[in-house]
Amino acid sequence: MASIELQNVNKWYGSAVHAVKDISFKIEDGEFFGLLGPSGSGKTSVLRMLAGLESVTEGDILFDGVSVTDQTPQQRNIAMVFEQNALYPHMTARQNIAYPLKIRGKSKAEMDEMVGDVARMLHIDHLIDRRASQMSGGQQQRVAIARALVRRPNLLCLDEPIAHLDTLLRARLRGELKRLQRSLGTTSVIVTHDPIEAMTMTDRLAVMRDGVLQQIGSPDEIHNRPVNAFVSQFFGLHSMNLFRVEGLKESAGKFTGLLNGAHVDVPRSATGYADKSGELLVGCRPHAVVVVKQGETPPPDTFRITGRVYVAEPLGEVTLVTMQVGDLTVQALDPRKRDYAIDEEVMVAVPQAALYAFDTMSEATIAFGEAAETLPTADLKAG
Amino acid sequence: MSRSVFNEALRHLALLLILFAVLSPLLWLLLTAFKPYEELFNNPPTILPETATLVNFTEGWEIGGGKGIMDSLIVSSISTVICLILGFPAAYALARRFPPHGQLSFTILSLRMMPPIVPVIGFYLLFQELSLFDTYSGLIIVYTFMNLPLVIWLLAEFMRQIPKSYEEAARVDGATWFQLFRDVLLPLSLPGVLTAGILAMIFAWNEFLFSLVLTGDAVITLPKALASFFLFQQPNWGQLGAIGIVAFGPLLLLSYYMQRLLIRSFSIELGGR
Repeated sequence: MASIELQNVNKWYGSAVHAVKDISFKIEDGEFFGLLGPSGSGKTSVLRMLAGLESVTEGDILFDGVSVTDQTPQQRNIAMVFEQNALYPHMTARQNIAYPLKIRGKSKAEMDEMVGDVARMLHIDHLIDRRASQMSGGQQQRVAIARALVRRPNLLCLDEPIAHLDTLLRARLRGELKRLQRSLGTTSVIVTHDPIEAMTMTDRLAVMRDGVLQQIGSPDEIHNRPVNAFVSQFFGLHSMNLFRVEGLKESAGKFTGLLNGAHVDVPRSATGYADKSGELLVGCRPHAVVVVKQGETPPPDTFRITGRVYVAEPLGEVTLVTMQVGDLTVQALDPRKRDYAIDEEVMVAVPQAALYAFDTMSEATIAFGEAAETLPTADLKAG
Repeated sequence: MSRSVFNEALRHLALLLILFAVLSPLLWLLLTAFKPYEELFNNPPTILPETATLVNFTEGWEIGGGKGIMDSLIVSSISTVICLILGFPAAYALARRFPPHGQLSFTILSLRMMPPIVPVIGFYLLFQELSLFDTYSGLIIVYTFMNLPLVIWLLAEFMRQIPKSYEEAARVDGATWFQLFRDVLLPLSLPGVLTAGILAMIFAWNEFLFSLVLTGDAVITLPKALASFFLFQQPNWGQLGAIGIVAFGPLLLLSYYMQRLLIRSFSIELGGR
C-alpha cells in the first residue's frame, strides 16, 4: 500500500499524439480512486503509466514520495486487472492466481494457503481447477481480481474490469469490489467510462477529456459542483440539460434572456455576467425539471420553456421524460405516475435555485445550482 | 434426388482419379521395395511381390542409406532446433515492435524467396576458406540460413494473434523476460512453434542442392545418398525403393501431424471465451 503522486505527467505517442497533458494529482494511501472520461480521454494511458506498462514522456510518478518513473511494474509491486483476455488460458484458475507467488519463489504450502484465502474471499473456491475457457466472463474477472490481490500490491490497477459483463453481474461486482477494497485497504485506481461505476465505487475521482484533467473530487462534489459544462454532462446518471440563452438583460431585479425566441428567467446567481457576454449556458439536472402539462399552473420562480414530448420511459418509481425544445433535447425525471402522449405539448419548468450557469465560450461554471441533492435510489436500479 | 446422387458419384470418381494419380507412384515404390532384384524385371511385371523380402532395406542401409538417414537426421534436426531458438525471440520482436506488413517483415521473408542456386557458389567459396566444407556444422549453418526467415515469419504471424494483455499481465505479475517467454509466450504459441519446426525440418530433410555442392564424402545426407544410387552402379530399384520409403515415411507422418496442428492452431481458443 502506498500513496501515489503524479507530477506534471505528459504522454506523447510519437510526435503527433499528445495523449496526456501535464497532469498532476495525488492519491492517498488506501484510497479508491477513479479515472473517468470518454474513450480517447487519456485515462487508460494514465493508468498504464501508473502501472509501469507505458513510459512517461515527461514528468514524475511517486510512490510514497519516491520516484518510480523509471521502474518496471515488478519493481513497483503493482497488480492489475485487465479489461479482458486477462487470464493465462493454458493455466487453471489456481495456477493463474499462484503465478505471481511462484515467480516470487514462495513455497508450495505458502502458495496453497494464500490462493485458498483469496479464492474464498472472492467466492471462486469451487472453480479453482478450471481453465479460463471453462469459466464465464464474470468468473474469469473474479479470478483475475484474485490474482491481483493474492500478493498485497502497493497499487491495484483496474482497467475497466467489469465493463464487459452483463448489467446484473456488473452491479454485483461493483459492490463486491468496493467492499473488498475497503476491507483490504489497498490503494486502488479504476479506469472507467461509466459514471455509475465511478460514482458508486470510488472515494475520489478525476474526470478527463482529451488528455486534460478537468476536475478532481469526491463523486458528490463532481456531481453537484462540476467545474464545467462537459463534466456536468458527462458525470451523473443522466446528463445535465443545457440551454444556450442569448440576449441577456438585467432590469428591475429580473435577469432575463432569449431561448428559441422566448423570454426566460435565467439564474439570479449569474447576475452581473450579462455585462461581459450576451450569452449564457443554463443547465439543470433532469431530477430538478418539473414537467407541466397543459392546464396546470407552473410552480412559481421557475425557468420556463415550452416543448413537446419526444418519448416517455417509465423507470419504475420515476418516469424519464425526453422532450424537444426547438432542436434541443431536454430530459426530466418525473416522480409522479402520469401518462405522456408522444408529441404532447408540455412546459419545462426548473426552480431558480436548481439552475447552473456556464460560460458559453470556455464552458466554465459560473453558478452552481443549490438544490443539488444526492440521487434518488430509483435511478441506480435503472442504470 | 437422383441428380444429386449422380453429382456425388461424379465427385467421388474425380477424387478417386486424383488419388490414384498421386498415390500410384508411391504405391509402386512401396511394392518395389519388397521385391527381390530378379523379380523387378519379370515380364509381365508382378503387382504384388511374389517372394516378399527385406533384403533391399538391409542392403540399402549398408550401401549408404543408413549414413544418409543418420546424417540427414543430424543436420536437419539440429538446424531446426537452432532455427526455433533464434527465431522465437526474433519473431516476438517482429510481431510486437514492427508493423505487420512493414519493410523488415518483407525483407526477412524475401530471403526465403531467393532461389538456392544464387547463394550456393558464395557458400562454397566461403566454406572452403572457413574449413566448413563437407562438415555437419557447415550444412547446419546453411539450413539455418535457409529456414530461419520462414520460421521467424510464421511465428511472428502466429504471435500477432496472441493478445498483448497476457504479456502485460505477466509483466505486472512480476515475470522476467525469460519467465515471460517460458511461462506465457511459449505455451501460447506452441502450435505455431511446432508448425514452424515441422516445416523447417521437412525443408532441411528434403534439401538437395546445398548438400550436393557443399559436402563431399564425410557428410552424405539422404537426398544425396539416394542420388548416388544412380551414379556408381546400375541403380538397384529395390534398394532405391526401400530407402525412398524410409526417407519419405517420417515426412508423411510429420505432414499428417502438422495438418491437424494447423487446424488446431487456427481454431485455438486464445480468448478463452
